[in-house]
Amino acid sequence: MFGYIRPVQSELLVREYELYRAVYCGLCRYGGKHISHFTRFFLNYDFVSLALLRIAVTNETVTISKERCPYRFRKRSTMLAEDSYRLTCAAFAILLYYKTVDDINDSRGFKRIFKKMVLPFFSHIKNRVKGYDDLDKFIQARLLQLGTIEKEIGGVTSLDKVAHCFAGITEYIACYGMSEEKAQIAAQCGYHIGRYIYILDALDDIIEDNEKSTYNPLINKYGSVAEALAHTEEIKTTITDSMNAFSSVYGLNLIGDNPDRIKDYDNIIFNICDLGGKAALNRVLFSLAGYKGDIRR
Amino acid sequence: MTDPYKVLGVPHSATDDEIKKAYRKLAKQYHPDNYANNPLADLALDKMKEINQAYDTLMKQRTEGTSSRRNGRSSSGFHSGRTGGNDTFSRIRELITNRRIGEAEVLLQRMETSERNAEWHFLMGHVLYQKGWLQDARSEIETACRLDPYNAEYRAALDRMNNGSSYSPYTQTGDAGGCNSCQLCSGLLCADCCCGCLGGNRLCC
Repeated sequence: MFGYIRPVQSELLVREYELYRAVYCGLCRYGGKHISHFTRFFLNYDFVSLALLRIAVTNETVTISKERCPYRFRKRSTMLAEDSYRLTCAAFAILLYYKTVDDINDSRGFKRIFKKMVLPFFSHIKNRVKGYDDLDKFIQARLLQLGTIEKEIGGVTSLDKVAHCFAGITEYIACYGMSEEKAQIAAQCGYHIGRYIYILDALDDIIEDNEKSTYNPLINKYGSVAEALAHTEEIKTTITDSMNAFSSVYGLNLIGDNPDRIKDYDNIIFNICDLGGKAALNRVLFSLAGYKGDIRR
Repeated sequence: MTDPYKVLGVPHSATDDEIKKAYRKLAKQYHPDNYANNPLADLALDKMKEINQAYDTLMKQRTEGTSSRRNGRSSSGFHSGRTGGNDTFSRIRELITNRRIGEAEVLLQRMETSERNAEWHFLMGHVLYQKGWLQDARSEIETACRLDPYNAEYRAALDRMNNGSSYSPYTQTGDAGGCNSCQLCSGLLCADCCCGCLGGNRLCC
């Protein structure tokens, strides 16, 4: 996962920003303590947002305290939400392992040898996750399915059908172990997060994939990079649709009989879907703008 | 039984007007029309019912006996049993309403290419939207709108896809009928111009 799902910090209230940072800090700390210290270096915003979504939907009881960060040399607000963190860290460790396996298959030469050398290390991290065998099996099956689709270039041209495999993973992580109504809301939110990440990542990597001649769902759908970039508006619309759907579904979480609910979560999540999503999309489009001249070759 | 005050998000000391205002705001946000082709439409309908029930209870308590009639049902933007002259479409609409998306999709795909009219594309778009396949869904609904441009149901479905949560503070439009400093200044300048024509021009700027 790639760090696309995050809020626009300048639009948050200071207390909301502090809360978001506390979740980040808490997740980083929890992963370091229970999985491996090295997960702290790989943690990204997508998982923080997933953890936040789970905390917001389940309304988990949390504790916030000031803890000293060994890497920043000062005290920071840290939120502890045991249940959400345990699952998010487990999913993170499992995905980290499968991503490395996938990278080995994609790379060539020295890089491939190096990645093969570090694989046992990621395998060790994954093995430290206990009690989530079903999650592991599910992720493995979905990635295998995705790999099969990706192998037949020119096969499946529906962007949604390919994105469905990846979105299914985030959907499963988001609603894991929740009850009926909450599970429905979290599942839909998770699905749209995954779909958004998958399509945006494909757009981000389009030039690189074209040069290496590796699979990219957008090149596969539209035929070539030039053709895909000519349909930027269409891709932009479908990515924005995902964030709109996320925002709309999360709106259902707001009503209910919960006097203790921390309302700041909602604002952060709406910031993520309404502003953060667009900001990440614009960043990617901006980086692509420079290539428009030489993609016609 | 949930506390109706908490459902509407008002304190126990709230006046009738405050309750009405809170109710209207929530009803607007959770109106089933906003969630018509959403997979969680039935959940939205439940929430709406909850809001209506809370409002009715409060009004009943306050007016002592004269209950306001509100039955929790409103037009959902998706007509489950509409008879469009084709039994298969009515059957598919029923299946979609009952959350049997897989069966509805199979039925739709079985239909001949010659039978695939605007309604087929609309229903297919609806099924795909519920699956989360937004790009294919949008293209189907757009096709439906193109084939039958005057159909309000198809047009509304497309409009709903473009909107996020009405609760989100970031999607609400800013100055709804308000008057900001910029408008005030331009108003003054316009007034001054008019006065100038009529021999005034008192504003030194």
